Amino acid sequence: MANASVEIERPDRWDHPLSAEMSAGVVQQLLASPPFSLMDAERFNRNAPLADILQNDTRLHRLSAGDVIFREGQYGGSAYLVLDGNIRIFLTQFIPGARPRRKWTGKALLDWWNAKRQKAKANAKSIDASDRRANRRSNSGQDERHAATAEVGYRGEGKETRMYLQDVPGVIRDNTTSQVTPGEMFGELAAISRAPREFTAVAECDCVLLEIRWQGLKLLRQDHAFKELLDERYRGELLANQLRETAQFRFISDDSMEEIVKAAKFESFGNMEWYADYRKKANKPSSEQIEEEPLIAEEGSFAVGLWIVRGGFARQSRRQGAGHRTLAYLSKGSVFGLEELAHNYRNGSESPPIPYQESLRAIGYVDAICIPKATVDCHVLPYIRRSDLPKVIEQPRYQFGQPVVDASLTQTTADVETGLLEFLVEKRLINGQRAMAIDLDRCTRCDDCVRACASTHGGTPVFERRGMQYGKWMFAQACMHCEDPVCMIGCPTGAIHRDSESGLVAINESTCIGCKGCAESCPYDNIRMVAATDGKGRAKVEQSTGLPILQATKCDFCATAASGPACQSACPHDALFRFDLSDGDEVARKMGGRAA
Amino acid sequence: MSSLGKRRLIASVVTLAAAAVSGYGVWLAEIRLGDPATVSGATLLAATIGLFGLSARKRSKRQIGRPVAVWMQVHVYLGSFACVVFLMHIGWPVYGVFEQCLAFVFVFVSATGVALGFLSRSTPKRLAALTKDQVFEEIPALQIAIAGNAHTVALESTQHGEGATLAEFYQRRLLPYFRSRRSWAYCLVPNGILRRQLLRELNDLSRYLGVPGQVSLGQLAQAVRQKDDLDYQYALQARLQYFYAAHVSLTWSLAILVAVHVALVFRFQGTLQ
Repeated sequence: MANASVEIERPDRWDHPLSAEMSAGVVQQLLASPPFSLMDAERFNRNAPLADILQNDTRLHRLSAGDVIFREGQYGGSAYLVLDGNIRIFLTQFIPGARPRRKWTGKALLDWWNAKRQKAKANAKSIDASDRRANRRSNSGQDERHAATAEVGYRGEGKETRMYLQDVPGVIRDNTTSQVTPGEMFGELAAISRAPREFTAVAECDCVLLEIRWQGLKLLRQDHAFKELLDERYRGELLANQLRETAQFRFISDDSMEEIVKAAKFESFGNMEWYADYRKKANKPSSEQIEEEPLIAEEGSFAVGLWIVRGGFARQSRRQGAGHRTLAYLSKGSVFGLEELAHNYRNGSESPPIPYQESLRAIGYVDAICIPKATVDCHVLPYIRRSDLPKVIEQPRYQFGQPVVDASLTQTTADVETGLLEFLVEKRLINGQRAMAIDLDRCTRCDDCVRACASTHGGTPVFERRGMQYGKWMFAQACMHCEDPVCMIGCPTGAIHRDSESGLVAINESTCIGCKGCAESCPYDNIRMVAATDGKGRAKVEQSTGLPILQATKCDFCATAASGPACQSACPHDALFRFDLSDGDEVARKMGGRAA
Repeated sequence: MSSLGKRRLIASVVTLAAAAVSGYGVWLAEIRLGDPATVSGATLLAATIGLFGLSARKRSKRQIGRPVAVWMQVHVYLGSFACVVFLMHIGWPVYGVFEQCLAFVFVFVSATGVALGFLSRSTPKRLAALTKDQVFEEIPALQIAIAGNAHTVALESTQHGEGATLAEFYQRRLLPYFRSRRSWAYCLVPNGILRRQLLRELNDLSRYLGVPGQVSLGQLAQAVRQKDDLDYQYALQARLQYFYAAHVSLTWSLAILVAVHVALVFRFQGTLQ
């Protein structure tokens, strides 16, 4: 029956608490201990009192020694508070995690075979622990951070299966670690910034943790002191670890690194909830939009330091006529200002220093680290290998006291047409990690992609073959599984979440309450609200009003299908593909030279 | 050479080699006083079954095996091979009503297949050259909206004090244009003849109009262009769909006729009692 429906009560925020085990007694105990005992309960909203937040948005974990809480590179939306026992934070990569998909080329096969042979030889020799350590250091070659793989095991069953380290003291001895003690919090940085975990956390002994999901963390930030504590930790922690990840800092001595960490400044630009501003500014002319972007470093100004993008996206641009021309977009780990500083360092006092040749602006929201010029000159540039140094600036556009040399419009960014680059940045499409692009020069509009999507999702397609167009490229309205999924910010139940392993943004149908928060905050309109149905296909309607219950739906990248997204494999003309727009190299490979 | 060029070259060489081997097999059967038609017929039957692979892959709910694009490539080259073998298989003239029907259906399916191959490469480029890509099913609704706007502009033009010059032209020339769908001939060969003619006639009216009339004339000209763009998109997409429908619909007739043909062959060879 087409109009059959089933009446239910409107779903509510805490219909599905994080854990059913959080009894009133446990909550009272938590309220009596810091940091919750220090919070002003009166400051919390009446609809979401502190006790309810703890009851519904937190859960207890009782861990045994060696249990892995999360691994570096995983996505996670929770912070952890240590209630009892100690936790070890590993700043080195030592557990086999998600690896990039291997391409079985001839060279890759040879590498694999050699690695296997070396491993077999190493096992045969049964070297002792100290030799193994020494071997590890020498094998790791350029990057000492990647220590040898630790032995791991698994305990528990089903959803409760946990990975654990078999030799905790040994692994702690072999790796760079820091300790988290009772009363301290960890993991909140990844939860707040929607970024992958930057370290691995392991229980050092039997311990008890309180997991606070992002939705609860956001509500707890209503307490002023707690918010300040989080912000301070967010800005101040893990700097050395971040710097070590940057290619140019690989060979810096420990002493110099200490100096760099002392001198480095952690700065944030723009608004973390940038989607609201984006919608407002979307109809303004491009030049105005760029002018309004928070300026990180301006062309023509003195090169005061080296900027390293820590999170978000930044636009590298230069003045062109009356506007600004985008040259590239920088994402996590990218460096700005090194060319100018290296140029000035090389020339010393022989010639006057040159200013920044380009500008750096925050697209939406950017976390960046600035290392002052003096520190760069003393502790960074002397350690950078010649091959890592940027090319000499032969003809600087900006020189102090001299007229600005106007740049030609020739293409400077590798293989990507400037117009396409401007388009991707202006529309913030660079955020998409699995964007859907359709080559309109090949697409016959047969809609086989839509049909394949529908047949995979119970008869209803979860994307639309329409969307923004640039030249022959159409960026269809399919969830892009963004690097910075702003749709997750407002979800009160955590129904829209990120898969910890794959990084795909998914919606949990059972916990979605149809509040439209995600659909309204998606800057690309890629989330739609549809009438919710029960298992028999009957529409769910609200008991009191008779209105349909809505639910958010979007592309799930066919996460359960082994062959990948159905839309891509169903295209008979190779016109549709999913790819990472946040990766400039991939954009150049897929779209370079054939933009319009 | 690009990877696409390399792929095409390899596929073409393989297809030609397969055709040469089949030709050699037929020739060998002939000089050894065998039955060359059986050799070519068996090859053609195998190729025809292979051609149904694309349809099967498209219909499979599970995404089994390679992407559809790969199957499409196989379909194209296997289809070319089947055409060559078909020429080896049939004699000339074709005798018998049943054989003539079978040959006709095969030729029709092959011809629509070739046309589809050509259209599926040329049509997307022509569609992409237009300002905005519209979804096929939404085009009629957009055309109705444009016609409504044009009607309003024409009615308002009578208020300008310039008489009914524009309104009369609208009623005589533009109303049928906005109200009617384009002919099947336009669908087959979309062109800009009518668009240019109407715009020229509209332009000729400008000497009789004042400033407000000129504005209305500009709006009507814009509506003519928009309608024509939508007609053009509709015709290009519809043409592709009609050819596809023709190709697929007779495919099933071909399958039945081939099955009967094979049964008859076995029957007359004495294999099938």
